[in-house]
Amino acid sequence: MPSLSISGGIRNSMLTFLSNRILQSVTVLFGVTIVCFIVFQYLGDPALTIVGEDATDEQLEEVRVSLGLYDPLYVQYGKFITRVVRGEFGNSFITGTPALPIVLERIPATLELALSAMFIATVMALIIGIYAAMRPKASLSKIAMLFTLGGISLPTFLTGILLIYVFSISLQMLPPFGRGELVKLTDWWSTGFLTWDGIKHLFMPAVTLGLFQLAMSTRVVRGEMQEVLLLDYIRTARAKGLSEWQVTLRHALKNALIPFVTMVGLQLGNVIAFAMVVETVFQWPGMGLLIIDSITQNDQPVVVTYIMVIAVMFVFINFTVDLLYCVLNPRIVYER
Amino acid sequence: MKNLKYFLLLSLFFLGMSSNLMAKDTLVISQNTEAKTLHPLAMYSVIEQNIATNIYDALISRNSDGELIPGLATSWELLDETTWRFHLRKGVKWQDGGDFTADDVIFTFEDIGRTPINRYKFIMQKIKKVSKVDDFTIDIQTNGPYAILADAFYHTIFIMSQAYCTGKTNEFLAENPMGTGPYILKTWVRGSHMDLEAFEGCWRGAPAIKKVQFKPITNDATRLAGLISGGIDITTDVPVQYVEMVRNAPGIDVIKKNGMRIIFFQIKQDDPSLPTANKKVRQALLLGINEQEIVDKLLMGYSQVATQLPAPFMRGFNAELERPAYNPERAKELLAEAGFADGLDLTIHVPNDRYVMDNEIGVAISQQLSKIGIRVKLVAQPWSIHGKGHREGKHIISMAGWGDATFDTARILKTHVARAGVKDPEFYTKLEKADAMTDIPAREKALAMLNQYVMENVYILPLHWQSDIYGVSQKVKGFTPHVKKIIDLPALSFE
Repeated sequence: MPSLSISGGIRNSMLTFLSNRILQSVTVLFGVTIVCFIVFQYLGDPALTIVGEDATDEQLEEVRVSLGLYDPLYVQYGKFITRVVRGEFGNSFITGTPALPIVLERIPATLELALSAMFIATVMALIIGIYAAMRPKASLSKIAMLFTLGGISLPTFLTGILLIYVFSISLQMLPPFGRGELVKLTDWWSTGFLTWDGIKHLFMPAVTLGLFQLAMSTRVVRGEMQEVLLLDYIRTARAKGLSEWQVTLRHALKNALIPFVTMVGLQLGNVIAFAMVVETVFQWPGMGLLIIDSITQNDQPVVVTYIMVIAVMFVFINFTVDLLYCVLNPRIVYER
Repeated sequence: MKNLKYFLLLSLFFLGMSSNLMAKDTLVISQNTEAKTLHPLAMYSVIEQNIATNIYDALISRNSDGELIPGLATSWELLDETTWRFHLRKGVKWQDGGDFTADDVIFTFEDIGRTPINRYKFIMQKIKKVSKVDDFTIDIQTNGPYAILADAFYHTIFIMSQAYCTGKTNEFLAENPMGTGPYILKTWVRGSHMDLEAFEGCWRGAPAIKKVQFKPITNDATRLAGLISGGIDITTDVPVQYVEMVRNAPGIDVIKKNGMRIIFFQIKQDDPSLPTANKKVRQALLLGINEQEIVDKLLMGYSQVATQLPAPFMRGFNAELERPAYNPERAKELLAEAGFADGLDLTIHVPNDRYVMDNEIGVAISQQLSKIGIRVKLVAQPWSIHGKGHREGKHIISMAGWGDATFDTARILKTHVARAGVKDPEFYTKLEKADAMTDIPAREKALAMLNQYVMENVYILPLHWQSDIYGVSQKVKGFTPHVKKIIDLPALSFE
């Protein structure tokens, strides 16, 4: 955890802090590109991917030369970085069209899935966590906590396939793949939230993805609530004659929520990453499925672009969270 | 409160069921990979050809048994050894209303066909010039005699419209195909689905099913769940281990067809110091692999044990060739005769994500060979890595699969025997002679003899021909599997 300190000259410190964070972020992004680049030297032959099995040996040579594969590594990396900085991520080896739009157009699908999953997980965590904090000895509490443990122990793809088996094959109630009917909000974003068909398609993937976070979120809520419920002001509220519900929900919950909200914010990144597994099981056309397919087919430009986009998203989320801390509580300024 | 809960549950249930009661007008097909491009000259996977063959036409086509039938060319003949004349079909309309003429063919071959986007170099190298004789006749001059020119056109060079394609980028053409075929592409949402609608004015006649949707699903379990729950009508890839489950599901048929994809081992023979350069060692390998057991136990009987590389319906297939029976004792004798009485060490490379049970077959064969004294180091890698080493001839024993676009043995043997590093001048002479023959019956005989020669020397080690296994809803009528794994949409109708 970053160290806290109360200091004067807050505006100066904030500027230094922000510029430090920007520098760190850029360094992280550079580091990511280097790792990407090195890994790709071992991933197989991009030329073979582009021309296919039927190709003659001359065709392969031509493509290898045009991709610059015979240049020394540092030259290849140099060319790669200059293009990246200009926003040119190259063309997909498979489609021949620019890689960046391919990745960007899949973001809404993943975001909708991630947000739905977080919503389900948050709501359930609050319900189970608060109940378990209020009635720790009740058998329902114990069963509920066990259930959340199950959610985190079972691998995501197994939970997904089990849900498909129950709801699609046995009960024939829910569709096992795809996003269903979508409503076009803008050129970029088509949503599944506005149609019943879209929600039916969202349900199983969102539950599968949310289940994985449930255990941790529930325990945080329960832990925070238990701590807060022991505090003096709660005892005062009870003494004043307020009902158990009023005490819990109006007074205790607000304070218990602060660490919970922080954790949810940081988990957003995790959920977007784990969406990969859920997307493969449910054929959800998001970024995760794109990256798995691209890795299998050795479509390096798309893989690199995806990693850069994700890195930027993570860096941005972390940066925003830090910024929010500053804004919410100006007394908290980070020290190097 | 309680009543409300039950009411909500019940309505959820009925709303869930309601989707199954809607009228059926769209055929939903699911393959295990997504199409990446629909540009005829840029595609090369069966997945894409499966879709393109319903949007475009080539000069020729094939029926379900693999025999050549007319396409956009109604007939063709050889004027001399290097000149072919194709007579084109009259009255064909493009999907945008234009008329098909020889100009479109010339454009496809000489214009866009000579640009780098065209992947089919192995065909274009052989074509010297395509010229117009009149609006419905063209001549193709080849570089040297090329007996299989017409064969080579199957699913490769689809004819594109000169009027439509001129002035458009390749990126545009990849996503907006326009052909003479029975279906028009209406929408394509990458990663999700492709919607096609019937072309009423098609020369083949308006197809019975008016709407088709291609919905690729990579995960086998999910795709089969879709088939069983009714969301999908046809799938082209049912993994062998799921066949029983799909067969037992109500309303679904499992249809199997002996395919053309040969799974084989390429054996490195160019270096005389290698044990595999010795014919007896290769023969020992052939006798020491129990292919029947692999087909029965690992592939559940869904494949055919191969006697040679080309499939039974290909030109040059030798019907008299027999695969020697599994004989581990004789294999051990042969190894001893070759000087390896104490056994030998070999590395076998297999892919682990490309062919049916590829990894498992590698493991099984390693165990079988250990019984004859060969200590196997098995290296299983994803195709993107395995394919590179395989193609460069670096692996001693390397598994691969091949389904030849031309349906002719010459190209199969030429590619794979050469890659194995075989240095036998007799083989190459025989191959050249056979390949130059334009008289088909003579060619067939010569290629069949060549097949026998290759198998006697074990220049290559065939394993089995993979079966294509389709899952088809009983609501669909008219489904006949083809020898190449494609779906002939115009032949289908709903019950």
